[in-house]
Amino acid sequence: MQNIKIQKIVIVGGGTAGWMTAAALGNFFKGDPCTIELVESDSIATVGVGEATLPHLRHFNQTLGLDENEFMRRTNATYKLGIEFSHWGAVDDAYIHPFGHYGHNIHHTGFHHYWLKARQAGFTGSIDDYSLSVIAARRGNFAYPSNDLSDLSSSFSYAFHLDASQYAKYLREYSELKGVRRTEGKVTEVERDDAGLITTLVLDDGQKIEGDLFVDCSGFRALLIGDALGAEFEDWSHWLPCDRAVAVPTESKGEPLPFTKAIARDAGWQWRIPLQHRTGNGHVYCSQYMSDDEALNILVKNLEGAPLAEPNFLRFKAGHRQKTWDKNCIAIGLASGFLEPLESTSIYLIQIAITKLLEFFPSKSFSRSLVDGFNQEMRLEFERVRDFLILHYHATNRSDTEFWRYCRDMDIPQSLQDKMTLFKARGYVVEYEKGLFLEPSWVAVYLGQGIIPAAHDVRANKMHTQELTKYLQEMKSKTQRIAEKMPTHAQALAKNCSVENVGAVIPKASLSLYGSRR
Amino acid sequence: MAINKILIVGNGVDLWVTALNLTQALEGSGVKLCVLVLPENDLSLVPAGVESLSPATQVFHEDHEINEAELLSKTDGTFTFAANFQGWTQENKSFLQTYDTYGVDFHGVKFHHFYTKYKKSLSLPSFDAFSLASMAASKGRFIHPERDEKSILSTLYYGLNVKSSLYAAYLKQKVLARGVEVFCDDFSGVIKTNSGAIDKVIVANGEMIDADFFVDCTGKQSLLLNELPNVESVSWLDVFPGNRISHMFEPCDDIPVVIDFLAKKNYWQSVQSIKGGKFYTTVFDGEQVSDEALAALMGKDCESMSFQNVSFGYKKQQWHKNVIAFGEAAVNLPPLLFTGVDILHRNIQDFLKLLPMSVDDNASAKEYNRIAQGRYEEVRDYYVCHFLHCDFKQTPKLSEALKHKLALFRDEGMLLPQDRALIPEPMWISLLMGFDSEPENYDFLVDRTNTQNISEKIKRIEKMFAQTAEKLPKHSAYLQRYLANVNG
Repeated sequence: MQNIKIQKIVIVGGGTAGWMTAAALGNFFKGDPCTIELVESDSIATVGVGEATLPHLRHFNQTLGLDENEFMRRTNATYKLGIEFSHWGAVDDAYIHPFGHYGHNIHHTGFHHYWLKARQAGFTGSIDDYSLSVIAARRGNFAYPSNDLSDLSSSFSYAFHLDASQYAKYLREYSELKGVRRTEGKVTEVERDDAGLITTLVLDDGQKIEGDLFVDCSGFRALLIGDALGAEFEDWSHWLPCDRAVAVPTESKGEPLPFTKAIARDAGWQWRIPLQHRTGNGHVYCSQYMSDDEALNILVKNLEGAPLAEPNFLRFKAGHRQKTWDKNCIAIGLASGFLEPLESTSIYLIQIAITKLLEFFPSKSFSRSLVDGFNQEMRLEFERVRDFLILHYHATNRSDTEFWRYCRDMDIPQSLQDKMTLFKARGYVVEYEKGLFLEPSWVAVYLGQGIIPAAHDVRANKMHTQELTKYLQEMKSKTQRIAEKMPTHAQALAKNCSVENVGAVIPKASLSLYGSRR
Repeated sequence: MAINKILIVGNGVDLWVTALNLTQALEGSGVKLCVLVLPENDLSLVPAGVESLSPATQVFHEDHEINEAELLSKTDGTFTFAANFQGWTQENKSFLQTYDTYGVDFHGVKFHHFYTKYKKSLSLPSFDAFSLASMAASKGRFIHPERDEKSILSTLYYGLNVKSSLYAAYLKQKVLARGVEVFCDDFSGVIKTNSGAIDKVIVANGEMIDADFFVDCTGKQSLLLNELPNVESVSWLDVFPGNRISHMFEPCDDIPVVIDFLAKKNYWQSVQSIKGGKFYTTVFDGEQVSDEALAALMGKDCESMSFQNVSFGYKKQQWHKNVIAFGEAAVNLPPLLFTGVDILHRNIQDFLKLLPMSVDDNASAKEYNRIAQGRYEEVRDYYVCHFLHCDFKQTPKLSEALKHKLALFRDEGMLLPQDRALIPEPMWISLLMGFDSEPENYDFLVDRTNTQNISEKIKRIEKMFAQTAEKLPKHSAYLQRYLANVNG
């Protein structure tokens, strides 16, 4: 028995999630009898947060065959080497979570163990000195990572700050060229068959759109997965209590930084995202501890440039739908769940859902094993990101506001509690392969927020302190030298985004947050 | 209190693999290591046993600068290319499972999808015709893989069969050469601390050996771990058929390049070959079949066989207080393709990462036990798939994870990668394909490819593997030459 193929895919919603899905499916099914239609309404505004991305997006773009420099021009993008967190572990603290490794493994043992050993012997240098991303970011420099895996310059990766609405527009053009049909309209009714499968969408103008597979990219509204199918939402807001944000774009001041800023405030945090033509700003906060007015005041007080638009208020709730795929409907983007943009994971979670949709692409039989497999994998992705985000709030010594006292004292998931205990004892980072944030990220946040292990892997003792000190010194100056030679971020942008540079050779992307070098 | 001294207690392969791994990793770390070797007895050791080492063990050997030819010559060792499963799904049906990937992926789609589509229309042979190692094995031929990725021979993976006692002795020499302190005496008991951890091990002559941490490599008896209260065992009696095991060594000149696994009406069996003979391990139901009856069924002399009751399974708290159990002291695996040594290496690596800095480190123990348990469940599920279509009375109980895995493979030909998997995906695929759990559907991308083109390619691969295999040297001749070169 051969299963019957899907012939018609309908995407509901045309924000970042909708057009990323359309572009990927359009590219994948080009020349195939399967048709793709996207329904969106110009009168519904998109959320459009998530202007900061992760290195994985480069892989997405390269799979589509987009030219990176052209993409940067179109979306006013800048480069991003990591995220700077200030005032998180303690007021006046700051660290960068880099898209790269710290040093490299010696004798099967992570570099941070060697750094810890040196530190115990009285060494005072920061682990940042061994991250090329951090050193370059602090200097405001940027260059492509090297393709030569034996070279220290291959130890990092990069992402972008981009204008999400321009990106959606760009992908719309791309999708339409690949044969995706766009239909203007609002979904007013969802028709289902006896088995509960969605058969038809009825639009406000009476148009009926039939399909075999429906992708719900309708954002927080979750028209299909929520309203029509009633997929249960698992609330995580007791761990991630921020539930509102206010966003304002401003004029840029000075040269753009090659990293995102996440500045902790009294009951939340503020983002600053440099684009080529403006700066994105926003304040994520917890309504239980702060009013909208206070939140807006704090944001306005801390803007660097002049506002370019009226403030835009958003409401959300951290959590995840237990089934993001139910029957013949798959939710991608905010319809599937929400995790605050603290680690720029929104677009990544869209991308990974698309990747998995293609990997788990169904036939009309929608076999249960397939749907279960997809849900299981997506759930794991969400949960692992969730734990990592909670760590930022929980690993704090701040007791200056009620919000931070709550975060410091709250119960956390057992899975995270175990991870923290193991790191505190000897710098052990729980290992997994499936998931976004791996050892370097956990190390960055733990150390950056003041969790210093009591001991280190005993194998690091194989290197004597003297030898280690010398090694660290050499490594530091080597890292420094490479970072110094890089052009400034502004120079790199001017060169790479110039018209004549469209089509230039770009480093090959991978589905990793870090560089290729281990 | 910090861990300054570790005592490893036990004997056999488990002990020396553990000791060598730990010695190398901890040399110069400030942690002192010593070894208490227990005399071998009927309970602790299988007489004349054979270890089948998978390709992963070669990494361990390289790490320890073990010369393969020297190792083989000192352990009566041979090469293995495949497991030859006979009678597991149907009485006269056999299937060769190798360590490599079957067929060739086209356009990023795995080969078994194409096989599923074209099996009938192209009258394709059994799935194992699409493995070079399997074709070579079926003809009793062997060659080392080539390093040059362009060579067809670069895709080969192989294992080793070595005589357990000789392998243990060989590794022991490596450990001694590193100057580790070794005691030889019988175990007679322990002295515990107030908190219930082990403080000292008492040996037969009354002497006591103290340490901060103890490693139990005492085999099935789990001598140290069993001194601690509340260590639960997970039994697989309801998973695998049989409760009694028999061992037998039979001299023989022939050295096949396969490990035979036979499923008969009343028993199942592995036959491992080394230089000079074959080692039979047979599992059966002692209530249905007497020892004599088994011998008669096998056509062997009962006197030459040893018998024991067996219960496969593992200890739930293999790291408990300041004791960790490795090898058979921690897990007793059914005699199938992945053996304890493969798991042992992985477990030791995990232990090293978690190596406690204090004696009462519950978080580490919890994490280690979690990882180890996941690994045993992975292997158990893998083994269970051997019995799905077997003619044994008992139908194995399936875990939820395995049910899903089988359903997804049946419905879509898909496997989900497992975090930090022990068993590589190609081996799951070949197992399921070979054991009648073939998919009902294939990846829809297969239909996008040019049928004419792909049919030709599939035919060409089949022919190429068969022809290449034909030209390879005979295993015995190759082995002889390989050893002669090194010895000379």
